[in-house]
Amino acid sequence: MAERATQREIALASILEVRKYQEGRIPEETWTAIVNGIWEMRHNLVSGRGASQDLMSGLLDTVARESLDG
Amino acid sequence: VQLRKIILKNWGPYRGTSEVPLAVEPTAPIVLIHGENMRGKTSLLRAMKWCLYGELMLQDGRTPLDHLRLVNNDEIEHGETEYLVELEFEHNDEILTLTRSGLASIDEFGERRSSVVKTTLRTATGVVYPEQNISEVVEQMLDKNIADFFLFDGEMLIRFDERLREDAQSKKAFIKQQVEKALGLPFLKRLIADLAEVHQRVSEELTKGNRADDRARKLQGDIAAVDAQLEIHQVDVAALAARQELLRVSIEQLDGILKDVAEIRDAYVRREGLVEQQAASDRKIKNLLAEAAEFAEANWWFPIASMIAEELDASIAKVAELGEEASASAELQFELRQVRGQQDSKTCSHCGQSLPEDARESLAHREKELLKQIALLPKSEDPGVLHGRIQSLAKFRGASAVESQYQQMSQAIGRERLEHHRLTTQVTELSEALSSNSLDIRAKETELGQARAELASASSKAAEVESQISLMKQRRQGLVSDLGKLQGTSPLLARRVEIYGEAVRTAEESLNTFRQRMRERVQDEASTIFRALTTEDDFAGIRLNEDYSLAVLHSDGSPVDLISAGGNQVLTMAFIGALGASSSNEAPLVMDTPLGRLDVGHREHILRWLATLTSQVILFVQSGEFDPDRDRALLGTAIGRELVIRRGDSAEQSLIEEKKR
Repeated sequence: MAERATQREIALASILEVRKYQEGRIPEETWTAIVNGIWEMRHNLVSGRGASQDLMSGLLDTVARESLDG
Repeated sequence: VQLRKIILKNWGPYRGTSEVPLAVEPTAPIVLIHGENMRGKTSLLRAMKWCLYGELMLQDGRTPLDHLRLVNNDEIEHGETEYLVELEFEHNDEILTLTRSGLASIDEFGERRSSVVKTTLRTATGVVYPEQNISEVVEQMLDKNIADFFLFDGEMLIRFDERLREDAQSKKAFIKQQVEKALGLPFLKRLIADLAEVHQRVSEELTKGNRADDRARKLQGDIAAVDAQLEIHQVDVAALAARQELLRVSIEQLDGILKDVAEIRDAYVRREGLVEQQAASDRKIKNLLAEAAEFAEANWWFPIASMIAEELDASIAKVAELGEEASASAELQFELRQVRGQQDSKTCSHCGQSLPEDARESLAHREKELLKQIALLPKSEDPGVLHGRIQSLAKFRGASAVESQYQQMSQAIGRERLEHHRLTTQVTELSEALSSNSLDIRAKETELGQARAELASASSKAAEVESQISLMKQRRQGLVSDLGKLQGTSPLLARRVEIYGEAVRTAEESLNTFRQRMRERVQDEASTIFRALTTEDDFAGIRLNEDYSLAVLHSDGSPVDLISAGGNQVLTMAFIGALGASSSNEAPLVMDTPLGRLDVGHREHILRWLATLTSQVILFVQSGEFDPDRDRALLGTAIGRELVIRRGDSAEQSLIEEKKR
């Protein structure tokens, strides 16, 4: 099973690489939480896209809020 | 994902119901299924594919295959046939059962027909998934795009092999297609799609918010305008209230004053009445005097009425004495005077108009006749004179009536003069009484009337303004309510749109990086597998170039120009194995007779490799490609379960049963 997670790791690494050269404002931890969260949802057959989108919105809203506060 | 069992009912050569146990332990992952040609190995593989995805393809991988062709021939010949495939599998410690079933029959044209296929997915605890969600759940477990790489048969190996032998350009395209298909990027693409959707939603929210902001600005402008008007009206109302107050005070004062001098006001009123009566009396006296003067002029003779009466009586007595002749003479004389009078005046004595020539001639003729008649009468006092006198005086008879009327008129004039005198006296007395009072009551009353009218006008105006204020307040309340309902933008919303947009851009741009890395991963995986499978020590691995060209490498890194057919099949298997291993899910590998074209050396390598590939390998073999002793020994303890498909009562009936170990 550990091998199969590689695709998730590669997806996350790819995103973080783009994030780095884009100098994006979304923190690495947020991307990690998004990728891992969505991955787990898909693999655990947890609800549909609504739940995935709720997770993303929640995490990205936090980033937006904190960037304003900061 | 692990397949635990499959149940077939009237599917392929499996007439009636067949239950095939497939569950294995990870330490012994191989399910070995023996079956000779035509016994139903491929039907079993197709049953798995149809149950999972509801569709089938021919072995070329492109042409659709009607699943009804898989319904058991013997059974359907006997009439309507219920067919079913049920897969039980384990995913994340949960046991799920997927069932597809239908009723098949042969119509009058010999074509197979089916009722609507029924599909259910339920958990061991009885939870049933909505039918519209089933395909999504299955896709999450075993992506259809990459099903070929874990549910493949020998034909697929051949197809891959042939395609990999084709010219370079076609091969590159095929490899790229398969890599893309295998990696399909379903996870990342879904993540991007979800991000794009939430970004779209929040962008729409911002757009709506911007529109709401515009509307809010307009509403605020409207409220400010209403406030300004309200302020003006409030000032007006205050001014009107002050004016009303002043007028009320003034009215109160005037009322007080006028109440205090009520008697004086009455006296004034009374004097005005008397003055009016005095004027009326004055006019009446003048009228009576004018009437009296006219009467006196008409009856000028009244003062000598007694003398006239005496003369009349005397003339009448003398005429009586003269007798009839004298009377006749008198009449003639009288007429003669009249005729002459008319001749002299040349006018008619009756109508006063001038006489025409013929009338005058007639008068002259009459005069001559009268003179002749008079000449014939005896001479005495002129009876004509007497008669004329009587005629003239007779009209003065009735002097008593004139006197009576005259007296009445005199009395009326006298009475009216007395009344006038009385009024004059009263007016004089009241005027003397009022001369000591300097207050101009009339002016005050006028002033009071004006103040009351002005107060009424001010009150009306104030009510009108109050009404306008009320309407404006209602309008303002409506505007404020509308404003409260608007959900405008906020710095947070704008920032959310930015952050979401950044997330979409980052994820989209990461796709190419992801593809590149996955291509490298497939290359590494394929190289590892290839090295494990090949019997050629000189082959060091596989390179999957950026243009998706595939090359077998020597140990020094140079590409191998030409490899054998067996080597090419190993390359194919390594490539397929790498694609399956690189897919997002760990899936059971189902291989239908993959060993037929391989030599013993490669077969040995592959059989050893299979046990390491994944946690469940279902391997269909036939006697021509699998040596029961040697090859089973190669698999050794990796065999978790062994089954045999054997012929049933007819060539189109098969039975599958577990082999005792």
